[in-house]
Amino acid sequence: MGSFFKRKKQDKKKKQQTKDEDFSIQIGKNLDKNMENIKKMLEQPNDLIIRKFSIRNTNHKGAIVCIDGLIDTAEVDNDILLRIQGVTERKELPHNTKQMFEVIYQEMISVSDIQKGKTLDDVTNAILYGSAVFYLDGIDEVLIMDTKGWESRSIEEPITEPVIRGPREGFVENVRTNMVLIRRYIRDPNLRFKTRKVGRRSKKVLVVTYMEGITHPDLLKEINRRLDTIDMDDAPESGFIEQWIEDSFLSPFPQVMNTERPDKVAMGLLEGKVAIILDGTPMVLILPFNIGDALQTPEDYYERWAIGSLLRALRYLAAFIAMFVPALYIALVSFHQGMIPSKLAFSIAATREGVPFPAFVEAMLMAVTMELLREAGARLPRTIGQTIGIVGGLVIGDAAVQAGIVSPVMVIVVALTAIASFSLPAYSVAISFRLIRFGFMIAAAFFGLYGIILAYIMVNIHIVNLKSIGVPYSAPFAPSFFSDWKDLVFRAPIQVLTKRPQYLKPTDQKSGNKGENGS
Amino acid sequence: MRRRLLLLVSSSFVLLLTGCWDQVDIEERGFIIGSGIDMADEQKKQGRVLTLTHQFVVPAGLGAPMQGGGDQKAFDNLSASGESMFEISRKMTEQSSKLPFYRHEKIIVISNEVAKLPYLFGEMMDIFLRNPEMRRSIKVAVADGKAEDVLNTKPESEKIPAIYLDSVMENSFENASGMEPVKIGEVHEFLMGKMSYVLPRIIAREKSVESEGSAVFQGYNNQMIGTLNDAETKALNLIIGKAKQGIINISLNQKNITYEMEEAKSKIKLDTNDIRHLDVYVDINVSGVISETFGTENLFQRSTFKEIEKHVSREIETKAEQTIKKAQQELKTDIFGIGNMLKERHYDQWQQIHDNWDRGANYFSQSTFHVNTTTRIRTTGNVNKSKNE
Repeated sequence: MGSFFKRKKQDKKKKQQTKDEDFSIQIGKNLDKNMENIKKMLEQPNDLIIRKFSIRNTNHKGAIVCIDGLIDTAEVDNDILLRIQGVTERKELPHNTKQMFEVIYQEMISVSDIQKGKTLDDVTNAILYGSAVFYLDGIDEVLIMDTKGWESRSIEEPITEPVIRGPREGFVENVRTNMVLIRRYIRDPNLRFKTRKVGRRSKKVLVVTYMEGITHPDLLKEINRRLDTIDMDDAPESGFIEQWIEDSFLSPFPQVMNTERPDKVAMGLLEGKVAIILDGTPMVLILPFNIGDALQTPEDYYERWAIGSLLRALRYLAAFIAMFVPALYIALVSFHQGMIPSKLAFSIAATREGVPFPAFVEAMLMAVTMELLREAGARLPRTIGQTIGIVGGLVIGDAAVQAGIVSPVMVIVVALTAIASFSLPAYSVAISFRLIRFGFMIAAAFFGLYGIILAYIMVNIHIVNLKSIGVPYSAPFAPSFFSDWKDLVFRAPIQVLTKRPQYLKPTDQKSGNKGENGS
Repeated sequence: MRRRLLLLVSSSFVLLLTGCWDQVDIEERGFIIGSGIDMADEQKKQGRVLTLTHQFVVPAGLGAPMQGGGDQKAFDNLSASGESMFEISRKMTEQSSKLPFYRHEKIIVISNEVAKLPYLFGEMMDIFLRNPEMRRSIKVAVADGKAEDVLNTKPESEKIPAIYLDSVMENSFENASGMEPVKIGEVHEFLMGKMSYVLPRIIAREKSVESEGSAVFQGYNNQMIGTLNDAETKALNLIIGKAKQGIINISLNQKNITYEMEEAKSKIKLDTNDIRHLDVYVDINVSGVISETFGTENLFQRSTFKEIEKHVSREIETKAEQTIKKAQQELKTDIFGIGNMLKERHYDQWQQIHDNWDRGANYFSQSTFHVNTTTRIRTTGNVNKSKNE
């Protein structure tokens, strides 16, 4: 079992953690000196707020340090400053500095997340993360209060994964909000969020989420081991994490799923998968990932089972169309004309009369044009993007045929391929399928159908060799887990799906029962 | 890493070595859709000179959606003469701008003249069976007249004569009690088995072709020795159980009734007590509908039903017996495949007589056929009567 999840390749990088000991300067008792230290440390940026004040009725001096924009100003003003300055009207403060610090800590500040800090490093990390820090003259401790409140995007419908039926909310850039979104789906005390920091410089928050008692511990251990090896300045997007921890960087297939949908993550967690949330991106990673997951959407479960099954079977068909149709066209038109039905063969021959290029060049030309159009449409602002669609449709659909550069059948082939590849739910998978398609086209140009079959065998060998976090990529097809097959190409009725996916070896196997035996 | 890269690069050269040796784009193929074999007009003193006509498809003439067809012909018949088929094919390649491509060949038409010469038909078929580009589903037919004329008909409904011919033969069998199209794979079996056989026969008209009866071939020398007309072919189909559809006209009380067969089965039993005077029992089972009546009989009466059934049976039996008589006395050829049954069921006895079955002593002609027909009427159609007296 242990070897099942073991990673094949040895990491060359040694486990290396940024040690923060160098910065662990203790906070002194002198307020002015402390302020000096902070300013020196951050080189006096102009968004650094240092509010010095004296506590009323006493001659004690204090200061609040924070960074403008990262904090909720109203919270700092009303819950911290006003309390410390104003509450003394009713209550005498102890004159002992030590006791006074305790009273402020215990009684006066009404912020739920409050901690004591002792080092300068604590302070800088805290203020850079949006906390306000309270200094009291004569005390070598500080109070760190969570007052985060920066501008962030509100929860919107995920743009990359729209659904017809299902929840409309998507993840945002804020890690806390994302955690809340997941918690709202799974109100289970066994839902775990393990926080760690990545990025030598950026120190981004990364949260590993899983279900205690469902996820196999070895899987978790392996993911944590790989996360430990991450050593880079910054991880701007979860794609960095994905590429760092994936099993094979040479494979065209993505080995980690990314999603914007909390319902998809929740579903994955309950299957025994692990999710990784990175602060600053709405893309949450789910792993392990396999070829079956690539063609599933949560909507398959929301719709009734017959419809869900139909849609899935359709997607498998679409995957094959996206990969093979241009290659088949090349092979049939330039090698195996005898395999086309007679009348179709004559009609293709008629339309290709006068086309100056061989089928392969023709197909390449159109496929590249199609990719260019897609890329242009994705990059342009949405309003102009539609114009590109119209221009492209005219150019590749009509003008090229009229000009006799490509045959009308080729346009159909390209359009069919494009539609099929767009109907795949995961964008990263669709891209990799399109990439492989070019390989198939080249194979078809050299060897015809024989070449396509050779290339297909090669792709299959690659897929069964590939692993995602040590879990076979072709599971549950190739290491066969028959009980998982009822939720693969076809989706059985909900009442039948009582077990979690067996290929993930969840510690709790049953996800439901029909009232026969409680579990 | 460098070694791996080197391996990758050098193995990619293998691709260049193969090239694309059999890559020919579809528009450079000359699709041959039908072939005709005739005797050449000018014959040499020694040997026979044949004319081979290939019908090439001209895809542009079929009308691409953009150009709208136009007046261009959709086919192009090329002919060449020579002594061997292969030689002629080569000559033809010199005339054609495109590479001949046989994978879409639909039909081979043999002229009467060629078929009537002994052994020639079998020799002609060799190249069509041997060439790997040829399909075994190519239909073979005998033309009444020149094969070239058949390939030159200008039908209104189809742009390519060979495709038209193909559909006519298919249709005449499916819907009009014609002869079942014979494929070249079956011809191969005939040639190998040395049994007599029949091939469909077609006649060229000005703007159409007609599937008309069948041509009878003697098995041992593959010579065409006669023809069967439509009615005889229908009876032949009934006897060997290959009939699919057909119409039988009878008259009841001087009024015509048309009976349409929907299903026909037959069973042939052989009594081999005296192998030289074989008894053949043919059981024909027919079921169908009444599709037209001129009279006003109440068809719902059991007695009328029986009467009609009896008439139909008698009609079938008469037709069958006529055909059997023709085969035994006029053609002296076993068109029913009785020889084959003997070979399959009574091999030892077959060994004694197989040289004298339908030639020499001709035991086939001396056998006795007993035809028995059972008819069933399934329905009278939508109405019982269409009019009263």
